[in-house]
Amino acid sequence: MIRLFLIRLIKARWLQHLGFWCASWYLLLRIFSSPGRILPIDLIYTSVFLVPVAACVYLNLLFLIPRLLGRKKYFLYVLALAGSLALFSWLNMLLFSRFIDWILPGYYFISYYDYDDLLKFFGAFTLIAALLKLSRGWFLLTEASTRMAQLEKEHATAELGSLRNQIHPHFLFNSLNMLYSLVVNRSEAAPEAILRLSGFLRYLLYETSSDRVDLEQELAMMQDYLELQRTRSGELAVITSQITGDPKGKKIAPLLFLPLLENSFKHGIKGEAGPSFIDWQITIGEQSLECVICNNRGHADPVERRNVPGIGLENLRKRLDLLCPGKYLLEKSETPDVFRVQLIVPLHHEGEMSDRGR
Amino acid sequence: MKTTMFASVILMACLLPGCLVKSLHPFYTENDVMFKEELLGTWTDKDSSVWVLEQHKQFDGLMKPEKPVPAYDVTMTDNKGTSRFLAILFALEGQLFLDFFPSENSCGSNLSGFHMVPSHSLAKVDIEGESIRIGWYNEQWLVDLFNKNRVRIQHERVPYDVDQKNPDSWQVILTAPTDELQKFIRKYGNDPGAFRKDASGNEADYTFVLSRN
Repeated sequence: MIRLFLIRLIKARWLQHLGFWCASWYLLLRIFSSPGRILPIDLIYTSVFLVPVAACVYLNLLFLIPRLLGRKKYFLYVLALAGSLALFSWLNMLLFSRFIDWILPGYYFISYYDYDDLLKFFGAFTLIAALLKLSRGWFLLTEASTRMAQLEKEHATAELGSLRNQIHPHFLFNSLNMLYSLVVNRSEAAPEAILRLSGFLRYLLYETSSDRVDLEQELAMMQDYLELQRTRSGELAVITSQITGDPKGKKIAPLLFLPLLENSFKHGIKGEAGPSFIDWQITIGEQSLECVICNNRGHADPVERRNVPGIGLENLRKRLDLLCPGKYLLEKSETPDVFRVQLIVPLHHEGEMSDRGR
Repeated sequence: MKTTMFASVILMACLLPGCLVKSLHPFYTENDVMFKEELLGTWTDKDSSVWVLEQHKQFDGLMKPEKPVPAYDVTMTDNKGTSRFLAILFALEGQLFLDFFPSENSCGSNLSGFHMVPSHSLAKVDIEGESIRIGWYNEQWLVDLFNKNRVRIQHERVPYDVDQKNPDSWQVILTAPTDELQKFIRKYGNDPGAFRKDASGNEADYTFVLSRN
């Protein structure tokens, strides 16, 4: 609320100028009048004194700063500023030594300050006004930067959500294909597979919307996924997995392994008519986790190879770029028989703030 | 003798009540000071008061300017007594002025004398052949401007008497520095009423026309 009020105040330029000149007028009045005794003549003198000061200040604010300082003509700016200070100080002397008798006949004023003193007055006011203008500009710039960062964050969140949401139909499409094959083959494993799928979908629906999930739960769900796939592939594939390290108390971005596993099943087991294998190795460190998946190279049909492959990995890389830019490793390598993908991602501990929340 | 100084101040106050503009700071600077031999001698005004102007020889004691400059010892004697001053002649914009200052010789040594704060007064001077016209700076003119809030120069107001609600019961002591005083005199020295003239524009009775004896 206060921040909003401050922002509005900062944007109300007429109010700022009014405040500045009221404060300046009062300050000068205190300087020009005897201690504890402000005479009406002091009010008039202070008001007249401020006129050339205001002219000098606005020449600097409206012309010199935008035309010279703003265009990085620093030397010219300093020259012009010095010239304007000298000119307006001289005009102030002239005002009170001559012109004041025409403007306010019947009043008796003199130019009370020496030229050097007037230069100091004009310099101080011009400098303060310029600093206020520059600090206002800095404040607005900071505000714009904050808003830009907020927009970028919102954009990243939206993009991340979009990428994550693409996993669901992708996974569902593959799982339904698998269930279809189980049902068509009248497999007894179909009900168990449906239950596992249901549990997995529940996890996808309710648990993966946050930035980080428990590593232990994520690994358990991936094991469920492997069981689903094992059910589907039966004796055709050798599916092995090994988890090294303690996942307790650690957190990770959700669904990082799923696209890799899907990829390996799709292009390894599905694309291979004969025996095939998938090996999933997880190594949990204190600060990072390494996931290595090896599978035999299959022969997917040309249509699938052209359209579907790569979407999962591409999405994963985009997500990683948003989640932990520069802090992850995603590499794939292949030999004529084996496709290998390696992912190293940072781990988080419970109680840590999200990177994107900072 | 401080008693004599006290007497001269009282005398001036009685002679010229509310007429002298007093200043804590001198009206002249060292660069403006001049000395004219033709002012030396004995002079008499229309009231038969005798004015003796002599070249001042030595600055000493408490009552002396910051820097020794050519000056006159002025002794004024009338039927009420004698008052002594140190007068310094100077010129501003071609116009001659005398800055009057209580003389060291007129200082008393009693306790009340030590309480007196010497002040400068200013008079415009015109030398016209064998006569000198001296017109004091018109305090009433300045006080009126202060009362109407028409003039701005550093000053203090000191009461003349207990009736402090009466604006005329105050006297003005200028506290502005010499530079400011000179700017004011340069700009408004020719203003009607500033010197010699009263509020109606007539020659004031505190203008002295001295004739050489």
